[in-house]
Amino acid sequence: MEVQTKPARAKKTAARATLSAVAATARLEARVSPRLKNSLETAAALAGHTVTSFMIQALQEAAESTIERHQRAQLGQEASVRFVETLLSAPAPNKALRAAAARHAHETAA
Amino acid sequence: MTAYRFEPLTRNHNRAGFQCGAAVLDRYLRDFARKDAERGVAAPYVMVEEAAPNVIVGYYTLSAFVVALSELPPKLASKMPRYQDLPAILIGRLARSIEFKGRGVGELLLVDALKRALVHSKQIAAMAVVADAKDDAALAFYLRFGFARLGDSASRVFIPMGTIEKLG
Repeated sequence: MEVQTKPARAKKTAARATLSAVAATARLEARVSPRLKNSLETAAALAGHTVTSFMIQALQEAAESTIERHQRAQLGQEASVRFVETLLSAPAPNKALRAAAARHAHETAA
Repeated sequence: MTAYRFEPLTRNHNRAGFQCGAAVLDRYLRDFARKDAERGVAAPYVMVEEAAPNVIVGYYTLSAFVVALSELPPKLASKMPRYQDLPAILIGRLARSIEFKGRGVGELLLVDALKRALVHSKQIAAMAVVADAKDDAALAFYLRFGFARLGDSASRVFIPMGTIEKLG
């Protein structure tokens, strides 16, 4: 699949499809298999969207959730308690970590 | 004895020549690490030998991370800052070249990442270092150095900044 981005003039359709208030001035192109294109068209029709607006919305959701997963962890109640208790007790580094730190100090140039 | 150096990734480092045995980690270094650094998404650091400063022995990335807590019992809550989003630093990737296998490079990368995170935490508050373990071997590696599991996650582990501070 090829993906290329380049600036382009804002088009009415693209601007309407964008969920943010910022003008859609960047362009995103992708080559896909005929089969995927077909299924995108079917899905968009079912959702009552144009293919473009369907793709933009799906991509935005996927991007946000991927970023969220990489930058954030939500802990449940029990896990929160365990996490905070460990932070507060801050156990001394174990033997393996102390030995590694000694090697690091010894083998690293200033 | 070999002296190692740890420094931010630059265009002078031979990214294309790096092989760690996991294609996804090689590809990240080759194609995405510099872009991530430019965008401020993640900071990649490399380990080199002083005698061959362009050859990447290993690398790791650091980035900002948030541990979102559920409501705590009052006794614990009173000891913590009021917000429920606790700042942390993530070791997103950590890899060593297969050419340097068996020389304890991984643990040197880890210590450097922890020490660097500690320095950052003086400027930008961070209460723990979180690591993403890509597989069981990576998970075992972090647990061996005193990391604990983060919640129910099968791949995420953490170590308190207070523990790193005690390394001296």
